Amino acid sequence: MSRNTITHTTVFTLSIAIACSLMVSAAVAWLRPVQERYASIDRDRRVLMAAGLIEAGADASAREVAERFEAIEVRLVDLDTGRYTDAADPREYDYLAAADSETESVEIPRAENTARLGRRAPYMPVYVYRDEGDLERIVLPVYGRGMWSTLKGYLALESDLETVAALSFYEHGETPGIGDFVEQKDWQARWRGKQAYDEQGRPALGIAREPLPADDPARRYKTDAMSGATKTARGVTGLLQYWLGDDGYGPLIERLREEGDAS
Amino acid sequence: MGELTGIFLSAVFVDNLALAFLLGMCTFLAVSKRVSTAVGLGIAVVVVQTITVPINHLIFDNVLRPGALAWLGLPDTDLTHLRLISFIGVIAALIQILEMTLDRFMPALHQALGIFLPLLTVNCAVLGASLFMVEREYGLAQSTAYGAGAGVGWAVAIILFAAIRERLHYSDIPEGLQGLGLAFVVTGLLSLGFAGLSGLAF
Amino acid sequence: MSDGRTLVDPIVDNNPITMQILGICSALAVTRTLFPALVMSAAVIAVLAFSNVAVSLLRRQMPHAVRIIIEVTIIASGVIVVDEFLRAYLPDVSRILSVFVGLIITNCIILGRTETFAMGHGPWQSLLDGIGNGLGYSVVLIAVASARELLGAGTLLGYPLITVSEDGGWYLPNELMLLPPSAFFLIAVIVWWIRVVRPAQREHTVMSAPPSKFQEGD
Repeated sequence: MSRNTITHTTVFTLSIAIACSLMVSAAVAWLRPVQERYASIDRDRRVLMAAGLIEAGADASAREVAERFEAIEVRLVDLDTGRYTDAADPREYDYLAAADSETESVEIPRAENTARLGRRAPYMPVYVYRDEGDLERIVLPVYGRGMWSTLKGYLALESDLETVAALSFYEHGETPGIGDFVEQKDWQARWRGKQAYDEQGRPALGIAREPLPADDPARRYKTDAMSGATKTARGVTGLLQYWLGDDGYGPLIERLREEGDAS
Repeated sequence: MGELTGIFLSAVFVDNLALAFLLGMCTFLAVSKRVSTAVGLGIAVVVVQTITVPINHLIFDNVLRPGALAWLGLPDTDLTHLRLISFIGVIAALIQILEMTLDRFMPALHQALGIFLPLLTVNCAVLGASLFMVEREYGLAQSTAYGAGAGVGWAVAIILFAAIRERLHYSDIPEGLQGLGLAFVVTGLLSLGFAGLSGLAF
Repeated sequence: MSDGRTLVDPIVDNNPITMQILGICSALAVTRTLFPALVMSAAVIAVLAFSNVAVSLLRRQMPHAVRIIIEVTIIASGVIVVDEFLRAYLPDVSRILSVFVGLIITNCIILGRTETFAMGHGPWQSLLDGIGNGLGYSVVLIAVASARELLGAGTLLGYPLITVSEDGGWYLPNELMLLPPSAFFLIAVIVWWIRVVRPAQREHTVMSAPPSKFQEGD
């Protein structure tokens, strides 16, 4: 049969389409579980880095991650009340999916939406590191819009719930060479020791809008301005203000300060 | 400034696909020896981008995204891994249709564009714009503004480049560097120049 | 052409990037450090080999009218499989390569080789051609990435080789190397060098005398 007839063309094309689909689907089906396992190991590793239990950038094996993660308690927080809840499994809870879902998500009041998100999930997982029973560090997942993309990261606070232990971003789609400073270790290290709240208890953590002189009191709360990457920088400040505020982890932090870490 | 205008202008100047992301370089370097051909290709790219990015958005949002097939009773299906092939399918189909339409209704333009139109099927900038649209989670109106801006930005870059290359005919260039070598250098300089626009916020 | 020549030709004499002007986009964007460039090279060689062999095996049955889209389908399937592999076993690099792995589909080298070589040669020859062109591409990528990482950060594959001034050393990193245009300049140097040692590849674009319509003072 000549290869240019319509019959042959149709049969050939269909066969190729089927063969390729089978090949791709087989590969995806085989690899998805591996991807998901790595994704959850990756996430645990990032939390451990934020909590300071693993050196940032260190090459921790899956086993090491699993071992050290035993020191971490994962709880699900009801953002409205600031109380821990058992409404879902904190390890499995997909807050991004919940934020997207029509039924589960919660509206964010416009005035507070400095992170420029759509809606949010009702609960968020938080990671508590305890040393001999006392809360030593708490790691809070944070995310918000940068210039082009959603910046996703972790904010770790010391036991006084004021001082920043670490801020890291693990995912973003900002402009390479300009906005991607958020993923650099040197930049992330600048946040250690900054104060999250000002004297009046308002969220003050962020990136300065203009260069600050060395002795400026604002340096307690702000890191250096980033020239040429203003939108990404504003995104970082916006999301920090949101999650530290009343619609984010504010109620949780207030409750922990008053009542301690029991419930 | 409106959000859509902002997206359009950002795509043209700040996030120029050719000079900031270096996409579509093969065609960029190969088809830029004369300004007239560069203009023809530029127009083709604008048309293709403005149409394919919104269409690809609709397909991604309504068929491929996790949860998109909920109306079919398949809320858990995630077909995002098929986005590459479906986007290319759309681009190839559109370019084929465009070619046939031009041939029928505007034969002079079709003749002038010649081989460049089918060449766009494998232009990384065309596919890249759709992939960025997915990454940045644009809506329909934003996708259209972005597609138009991405196309215009690429066209501006290649026309500028062709104009410079035509003038280089009168320069004294070492033999080994003539042609492709110098083209790379000029593109690098253009890219640096556009990097200076990166602080613009729209 | 002998098997050896098929394999080795595309490395210098017919290099896909510097001679055929193909596959440039990704070459420029993923070369800031060496490791992603190595991964990208491996991915391209894999897809090139697979596509060339697949198209070559099907060449006698391939209907003329649909051959481009069939070739693209085969290439795309190969790329998707490679992309999923990377996401499973090298998730951090996969994030860096992000959009560019998908763009391997439009990497002109692959479509160029399947169309111009695999359609006319047997599977073994096509395999060699695919690997050869992949190697040619990789050589340029690795050269550019090594230069950019070394001069831009003082490291290679993450290991510090030159002590940068930040760490108390003497070298002030060349920050131009961290920007995309540096890849262009480096490739220009590579092209220049190749054309010095291979005069046959030179172009002659400079006119010997200006045409008369350009007057003094214009």
